[in-house]
Amino acid sequence: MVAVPPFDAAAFPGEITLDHLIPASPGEYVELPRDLPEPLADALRARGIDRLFSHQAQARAAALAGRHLVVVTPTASGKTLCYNLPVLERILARPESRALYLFPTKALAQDQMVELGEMAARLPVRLKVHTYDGDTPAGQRTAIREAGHIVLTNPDMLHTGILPHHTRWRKLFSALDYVVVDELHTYRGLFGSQVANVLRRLKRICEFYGSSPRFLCASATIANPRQLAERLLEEEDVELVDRSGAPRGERRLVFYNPPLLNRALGVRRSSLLEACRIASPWIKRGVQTIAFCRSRVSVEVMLSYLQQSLAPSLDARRRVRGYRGGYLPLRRREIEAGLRSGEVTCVVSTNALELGVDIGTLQAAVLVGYPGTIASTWQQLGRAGRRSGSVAVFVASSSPLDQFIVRHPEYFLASSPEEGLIDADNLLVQAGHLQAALFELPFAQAERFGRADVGGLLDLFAEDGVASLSGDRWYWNKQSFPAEDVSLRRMAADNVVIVDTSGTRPEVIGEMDQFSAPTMLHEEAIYLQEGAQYHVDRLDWEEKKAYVRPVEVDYYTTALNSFSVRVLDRFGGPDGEPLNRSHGEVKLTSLAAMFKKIRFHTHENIGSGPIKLPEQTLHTTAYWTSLDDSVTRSIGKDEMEAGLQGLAHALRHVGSLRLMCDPRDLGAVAEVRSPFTRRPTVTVYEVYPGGVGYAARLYELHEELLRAAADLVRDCPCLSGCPSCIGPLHEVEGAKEACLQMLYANALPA
Amino acid sequence: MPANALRERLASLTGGSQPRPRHLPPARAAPAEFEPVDTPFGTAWRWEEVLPVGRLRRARPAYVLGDLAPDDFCFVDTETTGLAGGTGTYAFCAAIARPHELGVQLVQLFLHEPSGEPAFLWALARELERTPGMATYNGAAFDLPLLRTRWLLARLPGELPEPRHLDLLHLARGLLRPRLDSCTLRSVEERLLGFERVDDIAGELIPQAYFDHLRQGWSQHLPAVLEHNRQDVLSLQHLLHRLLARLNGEDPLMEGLDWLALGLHLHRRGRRSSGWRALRTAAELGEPRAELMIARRKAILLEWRLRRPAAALRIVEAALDRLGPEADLEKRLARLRKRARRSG
Repeated sequence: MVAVPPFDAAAFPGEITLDHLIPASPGEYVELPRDLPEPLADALRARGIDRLFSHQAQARAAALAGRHLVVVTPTASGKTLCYNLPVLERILARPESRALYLFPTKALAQDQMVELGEMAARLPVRLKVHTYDGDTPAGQRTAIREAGHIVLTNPDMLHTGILPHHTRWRKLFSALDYVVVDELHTYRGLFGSQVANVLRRLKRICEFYGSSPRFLCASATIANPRQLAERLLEEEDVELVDRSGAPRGERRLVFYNPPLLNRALGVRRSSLLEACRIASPWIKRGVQTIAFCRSRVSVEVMLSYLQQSLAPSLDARRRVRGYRGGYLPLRRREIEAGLRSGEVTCVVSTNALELGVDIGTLQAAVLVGYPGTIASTWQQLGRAGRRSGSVAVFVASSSPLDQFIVRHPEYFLASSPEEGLIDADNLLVQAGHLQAALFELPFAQAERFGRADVGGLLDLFAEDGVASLSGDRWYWNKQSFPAEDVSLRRMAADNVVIVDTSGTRPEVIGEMDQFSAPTMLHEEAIYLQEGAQYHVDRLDWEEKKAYVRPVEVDYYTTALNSFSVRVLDRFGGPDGEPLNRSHGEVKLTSLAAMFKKIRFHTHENIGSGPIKLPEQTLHTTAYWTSLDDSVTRSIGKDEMEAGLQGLAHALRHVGSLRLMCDPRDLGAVAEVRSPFTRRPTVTVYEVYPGGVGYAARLYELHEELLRAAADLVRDCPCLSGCPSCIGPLHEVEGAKEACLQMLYANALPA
Repeated sequence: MPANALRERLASLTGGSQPRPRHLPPARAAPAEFEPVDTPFGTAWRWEEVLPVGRLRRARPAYVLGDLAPDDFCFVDTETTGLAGGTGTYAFCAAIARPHELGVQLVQLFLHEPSGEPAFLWALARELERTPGMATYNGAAFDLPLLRTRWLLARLPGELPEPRHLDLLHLARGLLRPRLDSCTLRSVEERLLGFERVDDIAGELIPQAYFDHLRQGWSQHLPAVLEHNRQDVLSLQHLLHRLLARLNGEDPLMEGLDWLALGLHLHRRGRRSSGWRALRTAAELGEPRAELMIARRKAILLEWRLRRPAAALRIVEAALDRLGPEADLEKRLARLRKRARRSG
């Protein structure tokens, strides 16, 4: 086994844009605290832990002082002990004490159960630790409710299975001392906003039973962990533990851009094949390697390439394994154990192995394509971090974000990771959870839901017969079970479901919000998902289903629609010149009239057709920027429209990059003359009705977004712009220049 | 509420429109026949009537009552705001029937509005305390857990008093399932008691009737709901006696199939000797499954206990003759014949 695996840049024909050495860091240790109960200290020593990392000691001290806390340290830094230790310590002191652990998925909860069980087994107290989720057999549920010291569950189960039946859980709620929230960073965007409301209900129920638990959170690296925790928990003064005392070996970080095959079109050699070439020599030498791919399909493809090419040199089927969230638990356990023991040399995975699961630390990591966020990239790179030294290589694909990152490694290194943003007061989200809360316990008249004033919503419910005021409390007034109608991962909106009819059985492959659907899922549209093309054969608008079939064609489709933006309320701005910024509440209307089929590369129009779908409206929040006359005076009419479209496209991309959200969470509209601002305007709006907090943040990041957009557009290697950087109107001559002219205007001093 | 409709409604809350008028609930009174009752938690609403008992054929006690007599039991049923369970469903009326020297005393409690729930539950507790036993239909799985939950949520002291509970649904299923495909109270009422309700309200409409009362202060269907609730507990009393009669084998309408059901039920409850007696009666009435079980039992006793394989063989052959092919008997036949051949 080698020390730091070698990577000879000269052996590869592409471009190395970064070759950076992160020096090793020693550990910071603290002796096992003397006031730690002896049985617990013994249990730790039995597991080979005879001293704590500094951050573990800090977490324990904060918990003992009765504070909420959030721990943000890298993988394999003993983060779980930060919350397990206070919980176990409390139970030893007070056997009636209870704790609730929340994990985003069942799988993670079940993984932690094993970990916790091992610790608990060495303690003199008979500790009852159980998972409680959809898989828990009915016969066990009563026992867990009555007697479980520690209950591990997920937000969905808490939402429909526990809170609405809280009287059955009164033993837990009346003695609840701690709530552990692991993977805090996953509670962002829409999901985070919903979970924040579930936690409001939880706290409400705890208050009913007389408990006031402390929240112990653990998060991956994001820019604002304390702020996210404070917003999610609606607590002030959450202690942040973010200085890791775990030792780290030296790490070499390499960014590799595969060579160009076609300059005019910007096509590069396949990142997947390049990654195979990079990883193979390591695997042959027994260097434990992890390769992260962007999609399940890529995992399978890379796995089969590697297994085939390595087969003569080693038992590739056994030593080179694939990994996905969809695999059965037994298989996942086997691969994870194989990685820890060294039997598995290489694992090719989706981002399922980015975090959480203990696979030890490996020596090499290869990222096939940009994971989508700075935070994820660091997580994946961080899987290689052995104390003896490690190397991590990011191999860029030709997609625009990848190219941007690989060509701007300084952006990557200097960027703080993206933020986790939520808006717990999104009315549509809040309404669903308020109904669930009403079902759980009546609302007193002036009672707030968390910090939100819900009098208006309750009055609305009363008008609609959903709630009823009696005495001085509001009661649930329906037969149905409200939590069932709220899905935590989706907005209460009638999405269009995308069904692939090509297999033996129709399969749902995705969903799209109703507002965007007419332009992307009209009949005969070519729909793209994970790089694959699908032809929309039929769109059943009544049923909200789009029936598609995979195809490989040489054209794409683009819908012509008339968009209008009506500003209902401005929350901030207009501010700044010559590209000013504002944000607020908007109503968007979209009517798709027809579509065109455009051949790749030649841009010939090879067909068109009508779109007969109703006008769509969307009430949401948005950020917009409008251009001063001085910028646009010298731009011709056609270039103006195309340039604005390019600006919209670029802003949307860098916006989603910066906010760590799915690019499809944002939309963008360009107006040559907005009726509201009376100037050329680009609006970036949130796709979720009511917004989840992105628009306000985009407004704050205005300058940074314009700079990033300029970089994205300028560095696109194609001559006049291409679909990657400025979107579908690239066929207009001079579009790229116009766009750059707009963006650079901002950089000029006033 | 459909998602799009909710979105439109919420839009009216934002966009700085003028403040909405505050919602004022209507006055909600209990129907005229209810009288106020004082409780430590406020006023509860109670109605009472004594009725002659009708064609009740009183049965003798059976083991299911423990050491209680049938007249020690009251009959209880609630109407609720839904079947979803959980902490948001509650009972808005409860009927209790108990034996009275002049017949049967029927009591009903009505929750005129949710804020009156502590008083309602307290009054219900006082009714339940008056008899040592209580019979319900599906109370074990539904009404009782619901009432216990409501007691907790109302923060009433102590616990809901629960006399010895007999859930007639379990008994009805055990004794009647071969006969009826549905064991809802309605089916059992019609098929076993021979009683068909006229103009009864459909179950699905019941919660809405109450919601209308809360929302408007009046409800078109509420009288029918209250009547339905009263009828439920009266039926329960008849049902108890009928089921007891069956358990004791004293229901003259019992046929072979019913004796078979009784026999199997008693077996399941561990009352073997009564169970065999019932099965024998069923067999005598020509019920094939009972005959089969009796024959098998006789054959086992003869072969293994009394060591008379030849006699066992005769029993098995006769049974196969009468009943036709049957896997277990055929196996026994083969084995007994082999034994007979070996012993010459």
